[in-house]
Order: sequence, then structure tokens, then C-alpha cells
Amino acid sequence: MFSVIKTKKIWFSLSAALFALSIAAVVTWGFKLGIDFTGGALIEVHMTGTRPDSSVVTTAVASATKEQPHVQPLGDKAFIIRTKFIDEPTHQQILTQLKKMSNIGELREERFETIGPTVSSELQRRAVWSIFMVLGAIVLYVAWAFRQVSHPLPSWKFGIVAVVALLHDIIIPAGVFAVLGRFAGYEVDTLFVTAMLTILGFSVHDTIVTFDRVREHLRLTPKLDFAQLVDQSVSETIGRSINTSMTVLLVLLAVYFFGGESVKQFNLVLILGVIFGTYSSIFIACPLLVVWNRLAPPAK
Amino acid sequence: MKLRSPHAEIPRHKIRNGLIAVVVIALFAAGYAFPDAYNTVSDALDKRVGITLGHLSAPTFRLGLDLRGGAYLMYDVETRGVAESERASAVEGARDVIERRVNAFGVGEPLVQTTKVRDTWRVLVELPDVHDVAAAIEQIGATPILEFRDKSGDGAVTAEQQKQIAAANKKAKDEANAAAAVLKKGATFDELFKSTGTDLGFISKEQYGQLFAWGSRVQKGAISPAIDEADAVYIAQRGDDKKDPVIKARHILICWKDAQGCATSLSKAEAEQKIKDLMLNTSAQTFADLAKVHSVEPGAAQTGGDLGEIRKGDMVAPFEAALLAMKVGEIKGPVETQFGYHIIYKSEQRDEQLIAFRALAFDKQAVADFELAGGWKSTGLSGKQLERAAVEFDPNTGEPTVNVQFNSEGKELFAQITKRNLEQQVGIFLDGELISSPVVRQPITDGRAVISGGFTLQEAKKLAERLNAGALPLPVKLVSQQTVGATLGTKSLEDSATAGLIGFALVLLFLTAFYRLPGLLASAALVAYVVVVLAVFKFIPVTLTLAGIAGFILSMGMAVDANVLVFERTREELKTGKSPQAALEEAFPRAWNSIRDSNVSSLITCAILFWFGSSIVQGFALTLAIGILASLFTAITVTRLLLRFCAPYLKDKPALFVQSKK
Repeated sequence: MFSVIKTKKIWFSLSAALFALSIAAVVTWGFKLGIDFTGGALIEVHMTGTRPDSSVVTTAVASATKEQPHVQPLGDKAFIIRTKFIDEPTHQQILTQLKKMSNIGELREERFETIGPTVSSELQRRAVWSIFMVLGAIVLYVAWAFRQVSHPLPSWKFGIVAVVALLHDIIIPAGVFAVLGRFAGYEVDTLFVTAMLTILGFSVHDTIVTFDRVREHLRLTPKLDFAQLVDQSVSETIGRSINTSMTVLLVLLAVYFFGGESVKQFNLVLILGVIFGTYSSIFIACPLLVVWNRLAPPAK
Repeated sequence: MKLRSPHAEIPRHKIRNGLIAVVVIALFAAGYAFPDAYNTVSDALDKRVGITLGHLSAPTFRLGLDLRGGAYLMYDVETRGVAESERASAVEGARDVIERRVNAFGVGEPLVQTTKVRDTWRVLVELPDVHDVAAAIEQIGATPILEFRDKSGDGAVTAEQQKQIAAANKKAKDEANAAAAVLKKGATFDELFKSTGTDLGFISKEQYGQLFAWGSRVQKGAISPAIDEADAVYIAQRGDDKKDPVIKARHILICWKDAQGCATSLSKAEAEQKIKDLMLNTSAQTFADLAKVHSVEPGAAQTGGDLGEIRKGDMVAPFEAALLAMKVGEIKGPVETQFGYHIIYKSEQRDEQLIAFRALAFDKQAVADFELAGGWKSTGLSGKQLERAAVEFDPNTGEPTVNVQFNSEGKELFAQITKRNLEQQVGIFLDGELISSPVVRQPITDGRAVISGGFTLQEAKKLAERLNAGALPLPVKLVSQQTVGATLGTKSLEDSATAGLIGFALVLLFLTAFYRLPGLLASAALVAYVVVVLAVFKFIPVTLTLAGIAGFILSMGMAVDANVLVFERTREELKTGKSPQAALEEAFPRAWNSIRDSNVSSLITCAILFWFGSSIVQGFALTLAIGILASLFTAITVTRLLLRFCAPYLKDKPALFVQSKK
């Protein structure tokens, strides 16, 4: 039988490497923050005629804002323009300037967002807070759900292990986004944080199901060696974990490919999170329980 | 006695009834969620088979701005000028005004809410289907000042006016400082004086305390820094100084019929005789009493002829000349002026220091400035206390009128105003401009007023609109804006729907392929799940946004999880040699712990997302949470009912049933 515990060194090294690379990416490059965290404006314009060169758009916008905007083509007939926070008169000036560009046909503004500095700093603060709240709530909940378990591991250790697995699940997608932010301009915004928090909820879901099996075996066959017991629990729940993740992934992939541009990045985070969440419940959380038990055997 | 074992047969009819209930619920939910689809089917039946089922009507889904197009505006409300305890209601007032303005703009179902983030009060405005966002923003930010004035009030200024005063005064100070800076750089005082100068002449300490204090420290010709006085900020050049007498005196006036302002019928000779008689009886002690009885000066009965402090130029020339010539304590008369004959008693004299100034004046505003031409005074009643205004027609003349309704505070004020202004005009001012001045015919205590001013219908409409708009009680600042065009919104909606359908189909395929019959039954449960959740979204109603739909689609995937958990359990139970039916009955309660614990953790996350998130995140958290709760119902109850119902027919066909080939 395939044993997660016996092969744990492979999984630990793999995860440790990904973990370290992710942290390195985040530290080196940081995130490319979206306007909801930095403050600023985003304009999406569509045109019916020929799309002019990005530099033409840049000049047109800069003549109104007195600052270089960031212009990104979208599809064949649209641009996304990012600038600093602008007020309504400046916004109208930009549109007037854009409409003056030649051969563009009819220009339509399909999306405009502007976020002032007070709002963005507040969104940042909220995002950080909610991540800590969710993590804290999950430790407490897991500790409470496993409160009857005291031997050989106290219930709070289940909670801590669950959170270690969770950190793994959010840090790796974060690392991926640091890389994508650097090389493909992917942004970290409110939706990214929401996706992260959803991963937390989903991933702990998975971990709990596996731990629940461990808990059941501890009750039914307490004599069994702990490592063996965990191994058996994993092999019993692995089918369920993979199948559940598969259904969720199917749905997420459908949204990723057919759900439109605006939720694409949000979905990518979720997809990464589900993959790593499932992986970590099986290959990280359970071996960690065994290792911790071995390092600190409870006094008998 | 026999204890019922957990595997005891559940009576068939119970299973059947449960299943019927589920089907009925699902059909109702489907009809509620998709009335159009039902109506199409109903029409087709009517046409082909002749069965008339009638039509269903149900509300439509409430779509967020990102799916239907529209603008989301976030305003910071400036509350610094308001006491902490009154902020909430003041912000509520601003919200009401913004709502009225937005309603006047005529977009579909606008939503205006207030929210407080730490110390910052905000007003959030959602404008669906708005085409001209710029015009809407202008409409919301405009601050017309509506006021009711009369000619007898105490002239209390409104909060708006106080703000206006503060702004004018700050401007005066800034301009004065700028001028001071220009002077420092080398411009001469005379140059500036030519454009904005005023010759103040000789002034006393009482008139301009600060200016005088500065003047008494410096020499003639010195130029002051900006000095803040009550009426203006001055930059002054000191002129000469001098001492002038200040005299206190009383007088008795006897006039004759041709004298200025005289109301008696005495001839000049009679008046002269009378004043001479009086003169004989005067003394310093009795002077005031004598004046009270005999003086014809208006108000003398109260003042006893007291003239207060008299300075040069205060009195007509003959009177002043006599006064200056008199000694303190002397009584002199008769003195003739254009008003009549006077007897004068000079009680005190002192010298007063005066200094002359030429100054650059930067005018400030004061409460008195709000007394407009025509003697209109503030009454304290303004647009703040107006509940609404509407155009109506005079039943007798057919003339359009504007009917206004005040709130309770305004009702009281308006009652007071109308009581003290019977048969007089009350002025309605917009931005300081008189727009209407109806005459009060009777006291109005119900807070309703009709403004009739020979309006055309268009004028009446405009007035009502402007009255409804009122004035913002607090200044607001646009700090965030999100606008989505209708085209992009529609595309997003279509994309989400497509993605949802594809995802749904994939899940059904996967379940059936992997778990066979139970998978198929779980798929049926999932269909029930989808229609129930959609019906709940409509019923609450939940505003569906892009993120919200993503949350719902995700919950579909998670809903399956409960089924997967049960099926995996069933497989294990089957491996131990149990019959399919027994395995099923064992699996559900056993899987329940995992299902409960894992879903609770997701619900906790949703709750935190909901409390901490912005509106986008809240939409996501809400749909995900509703989805999870509904999935517990459908995945457990519905799937179990379906499986129990099918189990007896399949006893001999385990291949169709749960059979692991792993």
C-alpha cells in the first residue's frame, strides 16, 4: 500500500522548496498591487474603429493628467488605462482627449473605477485583518471540533497543524502571483484576498475531513500505532479528497475559460488554492501530525 | 419489547411522501426562479394539447451594477463642524438630500446608504442604468441653498450661512496676507491703496480696538501687518493723531408745528414761551424727570433726554456749538435747531485719543450682512427641514402651485413664522436669490404650504425639483467611483451564465460517470439544489454580482462534496460485506461529522468575509454561504430520500449501485 508517512520526506522537501521559492518571490518582487489597495483610477474604453497605438493613448491621457498612465491593450478594440486617483473633471478631460484620437470610430467607456487614498488604505487594512481573523477563527474551530481528542495529540495541535497546512496553501499561490505580477502584470486586489480567504475555508474543509478520520480511528482502534493509523486514514479519505477537488476544479475551470475576463485572475487563485489545498491536506497535514507526535511523545 | 435497530426498514409511504414533498418544493422553486421557462411550456401545452395552466409571475433577479451597468459612488461626508452626538443624524440628512437629488435625476431603483468606517462617515450611492454619470455626479454635488426668510424674525443665521461666513472670512485673511507679502517684496502702499484702499479717517479705540492699539505704538507713516477686525481684515498706514472731546449730556425738546419731525400743534411763539417757562424750573437733579414729562423727543419718557456719549459731528451744528461752549454741570437754553427749542444739561466731558488711518480693506462677512435688501431676515427654516415639494393645481384657477411639506422641526418653525407674519410676505430664497414671496393668509400649523406665484407649469416643476433637491447639510467629497457600461455588464452576465451551465454539466457528468446510479441521483439532487438556491436568491433578494455568481458556482462544486463523502463511506461499508441498503443507512450518519465540521469552517470564513469585506466581497460571501446551507439540505436529505427510494429495486444489481472496482 502506498504510504504517505513513509514517503513524507519527498513531500516535505517538495513543499519546503515551493514554500521557500514563493517567499523569495514575494520578498524580492513583492506584489503588483491593484488600484483598490494603492488608490488610483482604471478606465476601460472600447472603440468601433481602428485601435491606435498604445503610445497615442498614453499621450492623450497624459495631456489631461500630467502624468504617464499605464496603458494596456485588451482584445482587439479596447484598452485598459491606469492612472493615479483622478477627480471627475479630470476624468471627463481624459475622455475628451481620447475621443480626439483619429480613426477610432465611436469610443465607449465601459468601465471606470477610481479609488481615493483613504479608501484604499482602509481596504488594505481590512484585507490584512480579515486574513488574520479567518486564520484565528479556524485554529479555534478546529481545536473545538477535535476537543474530545486528547490522546495521543491534544486537540489544539490539530488546530496548529491545520493552520500550518493553510499557510502553505496561501503562500504558494501568493508566490505564483508575485511571479505573475512581475512578468505578466497580474494584480493583487480585493478579489485576490477574497480568493485567498476562500482557499482557507476550502482547504481546511479538506484537512478536517482527513483529521476526522484520524479521530474516528483513534476512538475505534486506539491500540494501533499512530503513524500507521494516520496512514490508513489518509488512504481511506484520499479518494474522497481527490474527487471533491475534481468537482470543484471542473467548475472553476469552466469559469476560468468561459466566465469572462474580469473574474479570470480571481479564478486562477482559487484553482491554485484548491490544488495545493488538497495536496497539503493529504501530504503535509497528516505527516506533520505524525512528526509532531514523534517529537513530543505525551507523558503516559 | 423490541428496540428499533438503526437499520430498521423505514416505511415505504414515508419515503414516498418525502420524495413527493421534495419534488413539489423543487418545482415551485423552479417556477419561481424561471417563470419565463414555465410560461413558455404552459403556452405550448395550451396550444397543442389544450391544457390551460396559466402564467406565473415572479420578480426578476436583482443584478449588481457590474452585471447590469451603472455607477457606484462613494462620498466622504465632512462632519468636523458637527457635534459628535449629532453626526449620525446630520449624515442621515445628507443622505436624504442626495437621495432626493438622485430620484430627481430619474434612474431606475437608486440605492443611497450611509456607512461609518472608523471616524469617517460615508454616503454610498448606487445608480443602475445611468447613462450620464458625469451629470449625475454634478447633480449630487451641487449645493443650492434654500432658505425661508421674513421681515420680523430674529435674524438667526443658518448653518449654511455660518459656513459661508467662515469661508468669506478665511478668504479675506488669505488675501490680506497675500497683500502683506506683496508689500514686503517692495510694492509701495500707495500703489495698492489706489486699487483697494479706503480712508478710515480718525478712529477711536472703541471703533477698531486692534488697529488703534497698533496705531498707538507706531509713528505716523508706518504700515501695519494684516489686522483682523470685525468687519474686515486691514493693512493700514498710520496717519495723524489728535484728541477730541467726548461729552455726555441730556436735553429737553419742545417743537413747533413747522419744525422737522414735529407732531404738536404749537406755534413757534408758544413753543418759545413753553421752553422759557421750563428753563426756570430746571436743575441738575430734576432735569431727567422734567425731560420725561415735557420733552417731545420720541422715547424721552424712557431715556429722560439722555443723549449718551456725543462726539464731534454727531449733533447738528447749532447744538454742537452750544454744547462745546458749555461747562460741565451747566444748563443752557433755549437753543434753537431745525427740530425745535432745546434745553441742554452737560453732565460730563473727557478727551479721547483719535488716530487717522488709510487702509487696504479686505471685507469679511458678518451675520448682519445676511439681512438682505428689503429687510429679509433669516428665520432658521431652510431646505434641511423640508420633507418634499410637489407640483399641484389650484382647484379654482387651475394655476400650477408648488406644495411643500415640512418635517416636524420645520413644521414648528413654519407655524411660528406664519403666526408672526400674518398678512405679510415670507421670502423663499434659493442661493440668496428671492424666487417667491407668498403672503401669509393664516397661520399654518400642519407643516404644509402652498406657493402660488403665477407659475407656468414648467416653472412650478422646476421650483418643486429645486426645493426637493434642497441643500446638503454637510459638504461631501467623492472619494471613489466605479462605473460599468451596460454592454460590458451584459457580456459579464452572459459569460457567467455560460460558465455556470458548463460547470454544472461537467459536475453532473463526473458524478454519474464515477458513482453510477447514486451519482445520477446526486445529480438530480444537485438540480434541486440549483433551483432552490436560485429561488432563495430571488426571494431574499440577494444582489447578484460577478463575484457573487462565482461564489454560487463554487458552492455547486462544494455541494457535491457532501455526496462524495457519503458515497465513499458507502463503498467502505460495502467492502465489509453489508447489503447496499444497509451500507447506505450506515454511511449517512457516519459521514455526517465530516460534512458538518468541514462546512462549518467554510461558513465561518463566509461570516468573516461578510463582516470585513467590501460590497463585492460581501456578495461573494453571501452567495457562498447560502449555497453551503442549501447544499446541506439537498445533498443529505434529498440524496438520501432518492437512494432509499431506489434501493429496494436494485438489490440484485450491485453493478448499478455503489461498487468500487479500485
